[in-house]
Amino acid sequence: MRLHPVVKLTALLLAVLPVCFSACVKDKCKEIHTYSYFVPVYKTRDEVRANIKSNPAQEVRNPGKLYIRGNYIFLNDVDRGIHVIDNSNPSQPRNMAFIDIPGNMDLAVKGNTLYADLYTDLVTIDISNPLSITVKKFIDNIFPNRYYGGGFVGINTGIITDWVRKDTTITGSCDQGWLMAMDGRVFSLANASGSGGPRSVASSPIGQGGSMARFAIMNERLYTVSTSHLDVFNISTPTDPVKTNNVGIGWDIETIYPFNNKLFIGSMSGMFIYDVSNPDAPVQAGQFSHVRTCDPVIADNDYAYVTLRSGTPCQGFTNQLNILQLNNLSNPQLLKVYNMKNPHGLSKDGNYLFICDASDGLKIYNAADVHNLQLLKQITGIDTYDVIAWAGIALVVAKDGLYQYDYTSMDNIRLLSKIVINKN
Amino acid sequence: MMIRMKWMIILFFPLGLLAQKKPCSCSLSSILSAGIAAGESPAQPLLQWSGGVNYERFFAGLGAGADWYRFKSIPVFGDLRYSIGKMNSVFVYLNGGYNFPFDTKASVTWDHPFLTTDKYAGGFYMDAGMGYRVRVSGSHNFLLSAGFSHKRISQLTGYTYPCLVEPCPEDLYKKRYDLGRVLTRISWEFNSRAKPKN
Repeated sequence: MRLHPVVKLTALLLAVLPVCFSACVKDKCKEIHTYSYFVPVYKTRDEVRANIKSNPAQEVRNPGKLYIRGNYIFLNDVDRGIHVIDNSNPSQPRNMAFIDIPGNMDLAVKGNTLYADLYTDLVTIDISNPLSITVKKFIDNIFPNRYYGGGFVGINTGIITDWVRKDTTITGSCDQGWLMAMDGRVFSLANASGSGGPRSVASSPIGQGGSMARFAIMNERLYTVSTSHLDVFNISTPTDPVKTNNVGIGWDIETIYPFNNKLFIGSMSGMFIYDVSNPDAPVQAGQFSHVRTCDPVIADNDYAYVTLRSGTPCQGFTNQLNILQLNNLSNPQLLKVYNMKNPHGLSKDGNYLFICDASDGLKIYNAADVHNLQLLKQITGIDTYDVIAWAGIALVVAKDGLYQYDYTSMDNIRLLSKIVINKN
Repeated sequence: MMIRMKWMIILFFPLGLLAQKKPCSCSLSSILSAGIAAGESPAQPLLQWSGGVNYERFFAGLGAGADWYRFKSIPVFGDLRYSIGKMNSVFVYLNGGYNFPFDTKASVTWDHPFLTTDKYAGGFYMDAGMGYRVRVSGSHNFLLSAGFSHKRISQLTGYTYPCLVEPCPEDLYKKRYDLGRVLTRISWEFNSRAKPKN
């Protein structure tokens, strides 16, 4: 086929065009960096202490540990304080008051006395009337490791009571590299370090400690763990706690769980068992080492249940439930391993084992035979942190709220109520 | 009675108009193209298909393709063409639409522990130029065309660091690429209504 001259010319032009004009067209790249940072709001120490009272109820923003005492739930709102929730009708819990305790992450209750941390200090509160509490005592600098990470330095004259979020957008060329503006931004490793974070739970009259608690009460003593130490307080006079000992117990300590004159202490590298036959002088009775992960622990007469999880602060890649035999406390043996998705808090009531498996929801096992756990029920659709199963009601702290389930009939677990978390 | 008459006129007037019109000189076309996109980034191939209706000198249709220029993407576009000259040999065209990213994950190749968003997002797509039509047979044409094209694609990476006040906000980096390039294409065109060969 003979080609028309116009076709030849067009073909030639088309062949030459990209070569000639491709240099004229450019790739442009614009980088838009959107981030938020938090600016601290300070109050003086006197102002903060004067404001620790039963203030009007507030929305739950960032739930942490919780304690049940009688008909009341004391729910920690991380770094802000404690919600007082009337739970006399679990189907309709009522948020009654809020105790402003800046820097609060942990709490424990004995009788009518509540112990809570206020950043580095321990505060003792009489909760005989939960709607009209009174502060009884402050002990300064009990938790010296409580810090802000990321290079943020607070001022010495004030206490941070709130954070104001600032949203920022920076636009620039992609060529100028990463637009990392650190102007006033605060990063914290507090959640990762063991100084706390959204973890939870424990209960009453002396309280059944939750698996992620850092405060535990046993008989006449309050035990608290920091990242590296176990502190002992004599609370025989509940409103007048007296520090009696400070024991170094290693690094990356996360949780404490009291059971039968023993303290089960979870750390990132293992589980420690401390004997408190002499309540003021805890002595290490045993240890179980594992890969580096986060590991809340609970125990019963024969076994310890340890959940190992990976994740940002926890490192590692292991997500499983470890069951340890405790017949020889000096040498707990790993009995059985169950794989999980990302297990957090756990609780046990009789033969029922409750495990918060993050986005896999709440898993309830029949643990009568630890060699062969039977999954009885899995409640999906909630992202769970921690659970207390007590007296037929499971209180579950999840990302979007505090749930209460009635499990008196395992065939018919019912959602009783949900307190919604305001994330704004 | 008068009202009924009025309704009858309203309902049947358009049909009457249609009946008076000449038969539509429409035909269907399908255009399959392969080409090269060249610009600041290395030249890459592209494939396109569009189909639509010819009406006199106009063509209107819809198309989709595969575009390998810098970021793999799938443009979906409307295609308008206008032919010039006695034999409709020369044509100009304008394509406009949306450019869907082909890859679901952005190019973060290392496992950052705080990475929470890692994806591409699509954007505007356009292509305009002119070409020459060579009649091969009654219903088959061979097209040569060239033009300028622009495609937008965004790379989103987000990091959520541990923070003091949960929920921890996400640091979001959006790299928005506006890629200009010269396209040259060869195409095969099929017309449903055959026209005499050149």
